[in-house]
Amino acid sequence: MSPGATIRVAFRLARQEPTAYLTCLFGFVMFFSVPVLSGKAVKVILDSLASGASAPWGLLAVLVGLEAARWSLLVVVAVQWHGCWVGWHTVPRVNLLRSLVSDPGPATGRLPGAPGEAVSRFRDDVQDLSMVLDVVIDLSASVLAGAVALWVLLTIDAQVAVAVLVPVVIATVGCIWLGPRLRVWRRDAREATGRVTGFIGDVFGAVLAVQAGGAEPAVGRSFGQLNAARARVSLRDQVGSEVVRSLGYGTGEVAAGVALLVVASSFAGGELSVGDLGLFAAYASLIADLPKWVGRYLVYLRQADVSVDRLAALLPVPDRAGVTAATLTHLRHGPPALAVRHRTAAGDERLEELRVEGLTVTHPGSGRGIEDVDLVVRRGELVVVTGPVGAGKTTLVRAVLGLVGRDAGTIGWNGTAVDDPSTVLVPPRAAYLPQVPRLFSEPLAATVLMGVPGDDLDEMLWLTCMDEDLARMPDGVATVIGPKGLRLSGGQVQRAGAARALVRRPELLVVDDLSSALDADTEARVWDRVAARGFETALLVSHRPHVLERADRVVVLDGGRVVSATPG
Amino acid sequence: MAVPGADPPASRRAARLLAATLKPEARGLAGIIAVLVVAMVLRLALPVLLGRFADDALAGAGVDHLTRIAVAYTLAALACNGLDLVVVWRSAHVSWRAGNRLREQLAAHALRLEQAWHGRHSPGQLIERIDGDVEAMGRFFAGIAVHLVGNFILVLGMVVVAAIIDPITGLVLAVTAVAGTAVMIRLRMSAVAAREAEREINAQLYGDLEERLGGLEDIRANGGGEYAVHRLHGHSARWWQAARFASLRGDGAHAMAALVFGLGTAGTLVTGILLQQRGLITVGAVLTLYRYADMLRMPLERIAEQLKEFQKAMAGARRASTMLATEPAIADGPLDGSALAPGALAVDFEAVSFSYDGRTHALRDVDLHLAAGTHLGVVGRTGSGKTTLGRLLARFRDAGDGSVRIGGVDVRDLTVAALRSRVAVVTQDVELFRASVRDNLTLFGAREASDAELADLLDRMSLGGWFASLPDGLDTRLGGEHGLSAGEGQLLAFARALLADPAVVVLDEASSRLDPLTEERIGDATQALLAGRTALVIAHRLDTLARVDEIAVVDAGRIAEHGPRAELARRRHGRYARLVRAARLEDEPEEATA
Repeated sequence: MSPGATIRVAFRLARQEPTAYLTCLFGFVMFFSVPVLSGKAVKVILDSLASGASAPWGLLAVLVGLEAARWSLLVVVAVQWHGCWVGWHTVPRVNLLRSLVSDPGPATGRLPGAPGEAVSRFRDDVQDLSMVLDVVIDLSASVLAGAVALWVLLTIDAQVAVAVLVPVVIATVGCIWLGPRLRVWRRDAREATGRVTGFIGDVFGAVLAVQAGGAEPAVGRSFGQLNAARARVSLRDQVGSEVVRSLGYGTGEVAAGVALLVVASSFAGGELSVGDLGLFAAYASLIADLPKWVGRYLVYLRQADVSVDRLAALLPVPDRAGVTAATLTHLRHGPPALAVRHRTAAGDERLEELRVEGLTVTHPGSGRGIEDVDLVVRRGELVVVTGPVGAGKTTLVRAVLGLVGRDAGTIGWNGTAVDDPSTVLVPPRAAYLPQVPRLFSEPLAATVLMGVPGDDLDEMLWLTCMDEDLARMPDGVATVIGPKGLRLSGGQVQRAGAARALVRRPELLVVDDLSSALDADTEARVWDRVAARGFETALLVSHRPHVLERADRVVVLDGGRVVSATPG
Repeated sequence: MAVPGADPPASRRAARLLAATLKPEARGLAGIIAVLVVAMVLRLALPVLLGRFADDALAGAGVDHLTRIAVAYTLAALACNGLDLVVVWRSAHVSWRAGNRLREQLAAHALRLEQAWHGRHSPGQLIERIDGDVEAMGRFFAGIAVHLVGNFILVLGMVVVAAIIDPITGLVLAVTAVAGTAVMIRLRMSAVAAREAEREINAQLYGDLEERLGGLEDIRANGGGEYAVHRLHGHSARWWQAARFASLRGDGAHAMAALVFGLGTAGTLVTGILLQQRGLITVGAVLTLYRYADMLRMPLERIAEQLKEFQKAMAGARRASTMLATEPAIADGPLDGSALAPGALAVDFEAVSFSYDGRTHALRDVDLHLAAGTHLGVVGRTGSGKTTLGRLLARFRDAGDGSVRIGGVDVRDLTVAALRSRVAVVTQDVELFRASVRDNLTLFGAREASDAELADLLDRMSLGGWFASLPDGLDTRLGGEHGLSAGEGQLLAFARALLADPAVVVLDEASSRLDPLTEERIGDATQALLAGRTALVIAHRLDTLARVDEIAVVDAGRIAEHGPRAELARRRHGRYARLVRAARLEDEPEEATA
């Protein structure tokens, strides 16, 4: 993508709050421009000294006043800028998360590797994009201040102006030449960082296996290798960026030297004053700020270009503009209370018949999956999918729910074809209990409800036999559970997940093997209670005999194909 | 009484950690500083040359003389900037080495901490602790030489040269530098607290995002999307507040210090003018002094930039040192593996009580003795304390009262590594890594095995067909497209345990995700895993326990019944016998084949 396109993507963020952005821009322009005035004042002071006139104390007072105003302004602008900075991060994050949780199609496949790596997109790549807006402010302020300074130099001595400009132009060219290389180095560094954060996330997501296996030293060695690889590419990236940055600082000093060389003859001839010398030195460093900002601008723009691509890849169809689409940020007052109402199914949402025909899913790479699977669930029926390990049972229910993409086949809801089940087979039509439900680090009630009102929370927890467990928890439903519900037992996690599905009052309950962490007795009680409460239409994966006995229909899968099914 | 916001031990601990991390780099840092000193001396010479140029020009020097000064100026400018780059390169190098060492130290320490601690710290939070915080510290390491030391040398040099021009101007510059620095230091601490609060909110934000992204399917299929977005909004709004507050404190400190320096510049000019009007110094010297006073600002702005990094680094170092100061609840005992005999080992629970929360007992007064090589089936309803038995045995927790012994040695007397090398635990939660199949089996090389051995192992675990379908064999990365079904994951976990060749095996509902057919198919492999070892097989499916020697029934944290399986099954009013009868009614097809 062209850098121009990237800047347009970034600027859509600034346009969310144009006043705030313009305030920052104006503030920093002022902050950068004051030294132009101060430099001029010092020139007058030095000249009057050289000519032996009386000391210009008034000008000195102005000098102090200018500085005081400059720094006071900075505090105000900096606070404002930090507000903008958070806003620039929030817009893409909200857009992407909202897309991941609600846009059509299977979402998990859009995420890169480990969740830790996905977080790096939301953290580092979003930051890269924000850096562009930041550097535009600095660049604009620097260009304006530099232009004024150059104009002043031109009025004094055109040769000096050119002499100052030459090193600045050379430095700028150097910065621009380095740009594309920096981009490659940057990408390598990012990838290495992603591997490190992904590794940390993975290892601590499976910390029990590491500890149980006594693998701490071996994990440490692998981590060390990843770190060393990252250090190599990051060092190259850092030094490259630093060259660009230091081209700024250094150029000012070199430019002043070149100016001295040029004026040596005019000075000897008495055409220039001591004050002019001070002015050259001061303005040379002002103008020489330019390559630094031009360089930074290009570096950040290129980094952002990579980042925007990576962010866009999180959307269903990679869409760079979608990353920064306008959205409310609710930063100042916080988000309004979540107004999710209970919606019981009405009209066509009421399930009469779910019909799956010819469903085929091939996992890329392994080539396994399911092939040509037919399935019918009618209102009031309990349909059980069973079969040996690796038969494709989980793939089947995930494909029906649209959590994994299908290669062929139709899914019909009351006879109407459902193109995208991932947005249709959701509450109140369907709810899902995966084999290993993910609970979140928050109070149990919150992780079960996920925003819906808690009127029948207690009842649903009773249905899933969580009542006795809750009685033993210190704060009941307000008990904060650890990451992924680690402080709950496997059975408790599953039953909390079941309550999460039930509390949405789905027409169709989809359950992937409730039995895996429950004893037969508890599971039977759960099903008794659930059936008695009127949740009677369900698609289950199970191989427990007592569940199979309850089934109105049993579908047996093996090797991804239906090998036997009760006719329906 | 502790003053809020001022926690000297934490700050001191953080400073000690920073010092300890940098200590091995002392030689490299010394070299960097040597180069830096040369660069700074050259930079100091520039204003002196400028003043000389002015004075000599006013005195009517020739073009050649002035040109020579100009050439010297230009060369010095080029050299000091070139050397600056060398310093940046070397200090970044040092910073990566030191930072990675700290990352590895933190990760190793976190791996030693117990389950309960990990229950409170999500992987997302740990990414922020181990990488995010250390990155902030690394940026600081990289900046120390260039910005802090370099600028200190520069400021000191300017004061010295100014004092040579005239002691009074040297004094004015010195006072300016000291006053400006004092203001910065005074305001710094309050800014650290605000910055820390901001980072903490960020850690929460990323931790929450990591969890939600990991649970995306649960969220989507249950319509929890709006809620997830709502939480992101909530965290972002809190970040907004914290960032603005931290900026007010941080940039406020920066501006206050800058004002002091601005006043210093004015003071230097006034002094210079007064001295020049009395004929004590030249106009060129005033120009030199003004350039110095002006240059004093640049180190300031760099130090301020570095100050932010310092604030972040200190906040990161505080959290890192706090984490390192968290003692693992599971401490190593004095005995190593040689205290245990080879082969199967006896397991004894003696008067063991345990509570997770200090209020309710998960286990109460448990006595359980297993001869070496015995296979014990543990049954009982969910939450009865079955899993806790295994956790105490492998020391994921320590018993409150009583003792747990393996081969006659109290598990707390052994090093954790020695104990866990002999006790294998396979739970219902299969934990796989997004790494190669080989790394998943050998746990990144913790166990040594040839490729042929691994292939053979997978074959014995009924994973031969799956293995054959992998494009890159043992090098195939798991996760993403080469996913395993839950049951296959369980088999992989079996293989992993078998590879460890343990003396005691705890299977905690390990086969619960397998269908009866598969379970039967790997029955032989399971027996191979258990043969010649002592085993605790925790299961709710009784047919899983068809081949164990003894049975223990756990109820509400107590052993309700324990004895040989056949004997218990015959007891008319026994609990196990009752369970078997109930299962037979329910699981008729299975019992018929068993």
